[in-house]
Amino acid sequence: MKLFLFLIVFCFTYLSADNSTEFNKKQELLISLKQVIQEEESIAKAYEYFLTNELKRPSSISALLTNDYLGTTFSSTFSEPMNTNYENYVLDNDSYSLNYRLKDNLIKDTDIKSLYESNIYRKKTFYYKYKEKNKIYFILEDNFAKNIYTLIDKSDTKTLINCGDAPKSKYCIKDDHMLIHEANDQSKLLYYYHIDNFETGPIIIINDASLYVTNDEFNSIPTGAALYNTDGVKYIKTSDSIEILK
Amino acid sequence: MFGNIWLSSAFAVIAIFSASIAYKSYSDLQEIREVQENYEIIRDIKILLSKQYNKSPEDITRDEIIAYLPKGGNWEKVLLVNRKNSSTLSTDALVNSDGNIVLNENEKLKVLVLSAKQEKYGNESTIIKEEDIYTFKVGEEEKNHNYKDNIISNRIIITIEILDLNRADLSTTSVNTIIKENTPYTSIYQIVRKTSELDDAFKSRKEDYFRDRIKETLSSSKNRKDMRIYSAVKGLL
Repeated sequence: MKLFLFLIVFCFTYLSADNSTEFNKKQELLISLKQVIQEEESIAKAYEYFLTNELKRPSSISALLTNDYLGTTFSSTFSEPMNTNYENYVLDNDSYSLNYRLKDNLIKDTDIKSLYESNIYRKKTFYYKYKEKNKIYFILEDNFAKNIYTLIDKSDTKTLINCGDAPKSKYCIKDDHMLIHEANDQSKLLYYYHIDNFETGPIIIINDASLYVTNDEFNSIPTGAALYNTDGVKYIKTSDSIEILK
Repeated sequence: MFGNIWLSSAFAVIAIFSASIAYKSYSDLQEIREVQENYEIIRDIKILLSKQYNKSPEDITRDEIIAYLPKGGNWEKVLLVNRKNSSTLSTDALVNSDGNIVLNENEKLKVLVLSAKQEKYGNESTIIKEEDIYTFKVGEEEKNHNYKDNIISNRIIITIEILDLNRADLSTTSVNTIIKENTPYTSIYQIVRKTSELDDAFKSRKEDYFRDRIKETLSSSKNRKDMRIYSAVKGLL
């Protein structure tokens, strides 16, 4: 009798345990997807912090796997069973982006694909297909990080170079001042400013006023910044031009 | 009296019959109470997630709810129309993939109760009937402009980034395409439809509003990256 009752209870428990397999599998997959997106967000935050700290782009994801950024326990590779669904993290150093995470089996699940590509769990990243390549791009928030990003864009090493060091770049740093030249040979200085003063000025600009209109570098100066040429004449940057202050 | 076999049998049948009717009423009441509770739970989860993720509550999907539910326990039961062990989301879902409640018209009591609930919120338009299935949209009554403002701000940031990525190849046509693909039409409440205005014209005015917001954000920014984009797109926006 006792054995019979035990078998009944066992069968009932077994059947109960089996009834929610579909739900459990779905839930585990969704939670893993949420975790992966949160890791991408963490990488984006670490990337921006690296830019402002080191004044250069990280050469690969391993540059971020230190205590100062992602921490040493963060893993850029997936082990089983996650590696059946997700690609390892690879930083694209041409732009501020990561590779697309989903493997083919997950791409076929339209709900999962749509959730991954949406912005629901994202603040610092977004999905975009650029020139037929699916990528996850970072959103830089800090003005200083955005400035550094554009200043190192033209340099081969993606680093803020000291003025005079090789290979020469049109943008270089000297004594905490950013120097913006007309060309990489650094022969003609267009303007310079203290690295903390870009938003408001003072920015010292070349005397040749014709260049304010023809040279695109002046369009990068923020609206409202105070400018002085080397004779001390004051200008102001509007949204579309540089105007003399009388 | 009870010695009479026929009378005893009759009383036994009546007793069984009454007991089963009473049980049926009781279980109907239980089911109605459960469906009302499930509606409230789903609604509360949608409101919570909408605040967390800046999404309108009626747009929160079932997958987003499942990702939020604690593992284990009986939480999945709120998503299922009946609680039999054989119930699955593909066969017995109470909550469909859009996060709305679906009932067959045969479930008359439950349909009545949820219809009354929706009417109480003043939302008759949130009940849709297609063939024999009623869909009750959950969360519509909680829509407000805060989510929409956040959605618009977020879309402005992303559109600016997309314009930057395409900076080298921009033209009026490509900028128009980017604007059309990214304008959050349903969230732009600042543009109100004029009398007899056609859909295309209404959408176009929303796109113009979105363009202006992008121009305003870029021209007042304080960094090189955004000023560089502004310089490239101002003539094309």
